[in-house]
Amino acid sequence: MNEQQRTRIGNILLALALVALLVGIGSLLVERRLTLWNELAFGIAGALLLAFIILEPVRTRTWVTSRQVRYGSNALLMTLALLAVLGVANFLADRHPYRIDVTANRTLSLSPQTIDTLHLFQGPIRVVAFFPGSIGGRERAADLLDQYRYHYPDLQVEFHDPEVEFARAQEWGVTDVWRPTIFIVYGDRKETIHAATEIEITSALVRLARKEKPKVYFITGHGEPALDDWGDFGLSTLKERMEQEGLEVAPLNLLITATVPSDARAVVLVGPLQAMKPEEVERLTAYVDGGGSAMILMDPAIAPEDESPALNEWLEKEWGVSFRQDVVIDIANYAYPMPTVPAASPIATHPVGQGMPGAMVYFVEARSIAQVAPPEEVTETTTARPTYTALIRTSADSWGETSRDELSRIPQEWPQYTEGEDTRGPLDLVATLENRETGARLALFGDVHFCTNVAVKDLANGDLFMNTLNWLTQDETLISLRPNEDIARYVTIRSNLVRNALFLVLVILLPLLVLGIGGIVWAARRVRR
Amino acid sequence: MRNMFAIAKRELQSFLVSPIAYLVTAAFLLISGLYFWFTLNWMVTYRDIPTVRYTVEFMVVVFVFAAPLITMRLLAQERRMGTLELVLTSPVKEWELVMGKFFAGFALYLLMVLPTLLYPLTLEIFGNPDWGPIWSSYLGLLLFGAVLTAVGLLASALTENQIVAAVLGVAGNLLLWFFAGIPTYDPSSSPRLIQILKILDLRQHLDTFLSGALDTRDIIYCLSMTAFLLFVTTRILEARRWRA
Repeated sequence: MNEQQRTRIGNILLALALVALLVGIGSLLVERRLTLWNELAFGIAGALLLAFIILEPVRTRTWVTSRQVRYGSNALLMTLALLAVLGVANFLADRHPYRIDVTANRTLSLSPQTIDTLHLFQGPIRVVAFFPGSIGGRERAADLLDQYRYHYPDLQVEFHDPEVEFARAQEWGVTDVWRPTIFIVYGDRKETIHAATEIEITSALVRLARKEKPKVYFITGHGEPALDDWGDFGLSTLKERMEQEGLEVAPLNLLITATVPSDARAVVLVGPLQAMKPEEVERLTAYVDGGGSAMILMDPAIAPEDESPALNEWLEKEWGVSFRQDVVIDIANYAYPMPTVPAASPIATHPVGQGMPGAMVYFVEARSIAQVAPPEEVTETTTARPTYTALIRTSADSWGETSRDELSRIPQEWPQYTEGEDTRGPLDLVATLENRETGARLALFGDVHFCTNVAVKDLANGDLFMNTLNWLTQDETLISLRPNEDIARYVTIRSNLVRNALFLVLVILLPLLVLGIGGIVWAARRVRR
Repeated sequence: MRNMFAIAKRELQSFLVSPIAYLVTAAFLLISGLYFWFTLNWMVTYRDIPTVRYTVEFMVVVFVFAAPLITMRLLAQERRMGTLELVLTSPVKEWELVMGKFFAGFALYLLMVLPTLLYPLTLEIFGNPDWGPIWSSYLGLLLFGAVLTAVGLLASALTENQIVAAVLGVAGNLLLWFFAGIPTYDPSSSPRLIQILKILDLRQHLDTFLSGALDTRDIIYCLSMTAFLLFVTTRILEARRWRA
């Protein structure tokens, strides 16, 4: 074989090696894994290259020892070394991230309780958030969820618009496309919330982390609305929702049981039509006084003798609170055309209200709640005194109507406020009480209808019930969980003149000024030349 | 080091006497101003939180296209005019040349961004914005400016044609800005590939700055990306020496 032939064969070998290499890379890109075919192609490329080296040792040596290869390989090695150093730096930063929240009210920092809650999980948590495009808040929700992901990298978040992605929304069971619906899925369990606040998300996570379903008992035996009643005034819709949100619901007849079962996370009394017997009240109060939680919903009494004196006495003496014998009339905030159907938003500073920003609820012929004992300052020495916090309050243009005559003439004639007899608003329709020493919690509602089948799906009525129940059944780790203070931030420009002036300065004059400076510099340069 | 600053000063001076710098700055301020004006109207009408978040995000998108226009001439022109060889045969080291050119481009970028501080100032006059996210957004803008300038400089080192350098720079920026995230939408992509591309994705890192947080991952990403691009640019200039 002469020199010329060897060079030609060498070139062919090199070309074939290149083709085999390209085939291997192409196959690897298409199949995205090592297969017999791409391994074979790489093998052939290697063999051809080896054959070239054996055939052309002089050319190989010359090429390897050339200046270009020496400097080139040196440059390549240095680049790879730097790449490795930077890769390691980025990898370490990714493994041990450190983040500083520079927002004024630390909106990007989660509370220690939330971080502790996240430590209870193992494996992926999926968050599927349906945010209607027509309302805001998606960016803020994304930022908040990003914080959760920062502390729990296995949190997968996806956003969808229920107004656009109908099929997906339907598949997930989104019923109200006008408001956010967020599903949090962990394993085979799912929680649903409607506000992307820390308190809501963390509460949902706490419920998901629980191994056992919290059990809620509904007291029966006094004509209360039934849990399985699908009629307008039944509680079947509420029961369904409670079960969907991971609670176990059971009836409880205190006449036939000596104590409230020990697995009760809360006991609910919904509008008894007859008076409870003293021993029943005793069993209920023994449970609550021992650190239990109870929710009591009372409609205005048709006949005061049907009320439970023992229950009222316990509420007054132990908790310093009572249901007034009135019907609330609110002429400023009501569901038109009935001032006896007051509408209100939960008080934003209440832990329950914090999870319901902008939500509205309404009540049908509600009664008000009064503090019978003067409110005491809660100090370290008086922690035994229950703390009273209003959750729903009527407007200042409301009163508690006490005249049965006037009430009986509705709707032909509307009642009027009577000084000395009626109570002037604002009036509390829902309030919560907490004994910090025993841990006992109480939620009082001056209405029953709002949570019955006919109204529980309206506005945020169901949310109010569920969020209050969640507050009652929450783990102790969440008691002090409070979202960071949200300072109202806004920008106000009332005058169109100011708006136009701003447009002139920011959009027209600023670029013109730069062009002007450029023009002067250019002209000065020309003159100098 | 002195050489580096001398080069930076000379380059900046030549920027400031060229009409293109003023034209690019004016065009940038016009469209950024318009965008801020629209977001301001939105904030006033819907009583939304006063923020420069969306404007800063928009400015970064503008710089994806504008930064290569600033940097395209930095090395390409020297190559075309044959002055690069002169510089490289002088006692100036390659890294000094690259850093000098980089600082000049970055200084011009800062000069372009400076007038936009009027936007948060407007919010302060007519409202009560949270300055934490504003500062963090501007810090993000600076760090991203460094990355985009470094991409442009690398593109300028690859060719002697300024137009080609600009196109290459825009392509590089777009690759980092848009395409790095695309495989994450492909369900068949391997999770490891998605994770790596997420780390490379510019937008992912910008979001943290815009929301009002300073994260070591984002800062290290920007600094290391800039360092790597400048290093590669230096190696390319060195290659000219030993190829000759």
